[in-house]
Amino acid sequence: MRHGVKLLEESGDRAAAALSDATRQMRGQGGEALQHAGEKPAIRAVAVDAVRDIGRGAGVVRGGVHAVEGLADSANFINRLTDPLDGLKSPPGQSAAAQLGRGIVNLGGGVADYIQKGVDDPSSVVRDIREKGQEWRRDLDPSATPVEPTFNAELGRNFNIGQNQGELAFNVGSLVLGGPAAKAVKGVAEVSNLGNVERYVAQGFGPRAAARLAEPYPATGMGSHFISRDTKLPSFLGGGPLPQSYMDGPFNKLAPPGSSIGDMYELHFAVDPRFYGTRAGGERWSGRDLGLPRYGPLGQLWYGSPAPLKARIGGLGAATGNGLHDSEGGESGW
Amino acid sequence: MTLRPVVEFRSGFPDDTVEDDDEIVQWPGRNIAEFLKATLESLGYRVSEPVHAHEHGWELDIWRGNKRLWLQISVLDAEECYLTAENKTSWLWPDVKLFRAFLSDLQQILEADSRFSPIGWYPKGGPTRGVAPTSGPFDA
Repeated sequence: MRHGVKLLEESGDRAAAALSDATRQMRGQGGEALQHAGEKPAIRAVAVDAVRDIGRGAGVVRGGVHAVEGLADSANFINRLTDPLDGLKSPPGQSAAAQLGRGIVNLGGGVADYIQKGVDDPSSVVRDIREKGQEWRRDLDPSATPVEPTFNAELGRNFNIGQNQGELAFNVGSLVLGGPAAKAVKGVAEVSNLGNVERYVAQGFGPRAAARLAEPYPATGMGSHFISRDTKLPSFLGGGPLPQSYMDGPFNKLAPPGSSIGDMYELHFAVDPRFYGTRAGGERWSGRDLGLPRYGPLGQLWYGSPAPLKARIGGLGAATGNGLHDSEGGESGW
Repeated sequence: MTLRPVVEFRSGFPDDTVEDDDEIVQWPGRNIAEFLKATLESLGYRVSEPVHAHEHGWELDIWRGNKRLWLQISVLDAEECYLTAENKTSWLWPDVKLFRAFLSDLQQILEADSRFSPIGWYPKGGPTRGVAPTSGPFDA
C-alpha cells in the first residue's frame, strides 16, 4: 500500500480513536456534572444546556474526523473535478467532469445517479431538501422532538443534539474556510490516470515514457511542497531547515493518493512556478510542450495545499468560531 | 526596474542522469550545479554543495556575508534547461541591491561559457504565454 494512503489512513485511525476517547470523556464529564443536578429542578435546565455544550465539542471533533475521511478517499478526484482547467488539460472525454457525467467513476453514495436524477426531475431535489430539512430540524433543534421521560434519557438526547450542532459548526467552518467543493463531494471515490497509457501516448510520448507516466506516483517521490523545502527558520530560531517530518508530512507535501506520475507532474506544474518539467521514461516532460497553464497566486494557494491541511484549517476555524460563540454568550466553554 | 530571475538555456553539458531500470536515481544537472558553484566561489560567494531536488533538479544555497540567495538548476533535456534565482536575504526587507549584483554576475558567467547558449531571461514563473525572453536580467 502506498505511503501517502497509509499516512492518511493512520491519521484517520488516530482521529477516530481520539474521537472515541473525546466522546467518552465528554460524556463522562456531562454525566458526572449532572448526577448532582438531576434532583434539583431549579438547575436541571441549566444542566441540560451544559450537556448540549459538551456534545457540541464532541461534534466538532466528529466533524473533523468525517471530513478527513472523506478527503482522504476523494482528494485526487476532487482536485480534478474542481480544477477549472481539467477540461483543458485532459484529452477529449477524459476530464473528471466528463467521467462523472458518463458515470464511469466509482462513486460512493450514488452521487452521479443523484446528479442525473436532479437533472431529469428537478422537483425531486426540492422534495429531498424539504425532507432533509425536517431531518436536520430533528437532529439540531431540541424543541423539534419530545422531551424524554427520564432525566438521564433527556441528557442523552441533548448530548446527541449538541454533537450534531457541533458537527454542523465544523462543516460550516470548512465550507467557509476549508473547502466547499471538498465538502460537497465528500464520499466520491478517487479517479486518476493510473494505467491510462493511451492518455500519455495521445500527449505525444513514446510507449516507454507513456507507460512510465501511467504508473503510480511513488511514495518516495518529491511531490509538491506547500512550504518550499529550501525555507529556513529565522536566524533567531537557529536559521536551520524546518523539521523533515513536517516538510515531507501530509500537511505540507502534496501528492494526492491515487495519482499517476503524469497526474502529479501536471498538478505540480500548475501549482509550483519553480517547476518547469522533468524527465520520464527517457523523454522530456515539459509543461510548456503540453501547453499546460499555471494557476495564479490564489490557485497556487488553494490547489497547492494538501487536503489534510485544508481540512485542518477548516476545523480550526470552526472550533474557534464555536468557542468564541460560547464565550460571547457567557455560557460554559468546552 | 523589473528583475528577470529565471534563465532558459540550451545546455552543452553532458547528460549526467543516473537511471536504474526505469527509475531515475539522480536527476540531471549536477555537473552544471558544480560548475556554477566553482565559478560563483571564484567571485567571492560562499556556496553549498549541490542539493539533489529530484524532479526539480539541483539546488545551491549561496551566501554573500550572512545574506542568502538561492539557485535551482532544472534540466529537462539538452534543449530545455532553466536556472531560477531567488532572493532569500530577508522576508521583510530583502536586499535588492545584492540580488541585482548576483544576477549581473550570473549573466556574466553564462555569457562567458558557450555551453549556455542561447540564453533567455524571464520574470518569476518562467516562460508563460505572452512573455518574451530578453537578453538580460533587467527590464528598464
